[in-house]
Formats: sequence, C-alpha cells, structure tokens
Amino acid sequence: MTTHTQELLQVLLGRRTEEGRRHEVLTRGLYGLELSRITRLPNGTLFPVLERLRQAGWVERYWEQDEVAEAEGRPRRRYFKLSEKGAQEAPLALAAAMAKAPAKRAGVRRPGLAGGF
Amino acid sequence: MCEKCNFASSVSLLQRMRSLAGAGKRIFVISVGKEVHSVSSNVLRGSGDFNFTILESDQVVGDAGSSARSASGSEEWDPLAKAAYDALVASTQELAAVNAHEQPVRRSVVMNVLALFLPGSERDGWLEENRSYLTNIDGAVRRALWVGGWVRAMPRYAYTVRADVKKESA
Repeated sequence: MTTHTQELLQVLLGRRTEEGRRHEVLTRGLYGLELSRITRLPNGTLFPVLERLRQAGWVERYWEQDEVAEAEGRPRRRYFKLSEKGAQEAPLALAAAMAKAPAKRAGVRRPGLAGGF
Repeated sequence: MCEKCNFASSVSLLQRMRSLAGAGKRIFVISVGKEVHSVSSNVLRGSGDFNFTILESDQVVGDAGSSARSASGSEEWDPLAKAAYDALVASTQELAAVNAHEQPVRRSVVMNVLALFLPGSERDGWLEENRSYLTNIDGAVRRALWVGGWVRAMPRYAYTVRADVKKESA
C-alpha cells in the first residue's frame, strides 16, 4: 500500500478531521475537492487512487441530493465514502502498513507494487 | 438559509408547488417564458416573466395568461391553476434573490476535451462532478490550476477507469 493510499484512507476514516466531524466524514463522506484540499494530493494521484479503491470495493461514491445542490445554486457534488467492506478492512490494512514502515526507514528495499493499491 | 439574500431556497417554492400537486399524485409542468420546468424534477428557476402554462400530466389545467385576464373578471379559471399561479407570483422576489445569488456553472472547453479520454459511461458524471468543483473554486488562477491538474492527471486516471471497464466487460 503506497503512502498516498494510506493518507487517503486516513482521511476517509476521519482521522485527519476534528473529532466533531468524524461521524459526518464516515456517514456522508467527502467530495473530491474536499479530499484534494485535505490530502493536498495532486489530481493525478488522488483520483486514480480513489478509483482503484472503488474498484476494490473499499470506497463507494454517490451523488448529492438534487435539492441540496439546487438550494445552493450549483451543480451536484459527488461524494466518496468508505464502504462497509472498506470500513472493516482499511484500519487493519493501515495498521499492517504502519507496522512495515520502520523497516522501510531502516533502509530495507520495498518489494514491487504488484497487488498493492 | 442564504445569508446574502435572506431566503431559504427555491426548494420552499417547490414544496409549495408539490403540496398543491397533492403529495405527488399530480405532476405539473410549468413553462416560464420559453423555458419549461417540471416541478417533480426539482428544477424550477424563475424569471420575471410569469407567462406560464400549468399542465396536469399532459392536460392543460390553467394558463397564467388567461388567469391574469380572469383577474379582471372576464373568465373563470381552474382554482388549482390559480393557487399555483399565486404561489409562483408570491415567490417573485424569492426567485429573483436566488437567481441573483446563484453561482454560474463553470464550463471548460479543456475539461470537455479531457472527458473524451474516459469511457462513455463515466464521461457525463466526471464532467458534472468537475463543473461542481470549478464552481466552488474561487479565483480564475485556482480554477486554471485545477484544470491544469486534470490535464496532467487524465492519462493515468483514464487508464485506471478503463482498466476497470475492460475487467467488467470481460
């Protein structure tokens, strides 16, 4: 799992937002521009990672309700949030990735990215 | 509530129209000026010109032009149409405020070209999503940076999306 994927998962798990908003992030999710602002990842990194997580079934996307967008006079936003599968598996995968991190810092070369996100 | 125009939204008008429509049993199609809007589709942008026609399903039940004339007592008109007409007229200021405050939808030729790299099923969604983000981004430079970011990102993103589409169709 790349560091960018880890960062994105941390955000989707609400670990990069204040305590009060964590539930909102988990239930409503975040739209792409919000994710871009929080993670500070370039589009060429953020959206392909999101897409791969979606293909893996960890992230689901949905359109904002028409009424909300209409009330604010703008086009609808597309929200991204962790799916049930993602909410279960992401913390475990993140913990495993974190556990491997010290080995990387010690100069051990990382194996290829095959099979990773 | 919009702080600038002190008006909840055009949704309140839609709710009023829906209640007139009888809990979704009837569908009104209202044409305001030349534009036709369906109440059921949540899209109702007003204009100052209330020359509208009210249809119930496909049947005309009232016409605001004739309704306005009926105010002088020359002819009778459908009470349902009158109620809808009154609701719409009462909302003139609200609609004007919404329209004045409404953010313009940002369209970009570059984004339309970039969308061509995506499979057809993803194209419209991606364009709508990014129009929304461009509307939210303040400043032409930042918007240009967002578009520029997508110029660099699209080959990789399109490859990722297309890889999934191929997998699904296989």
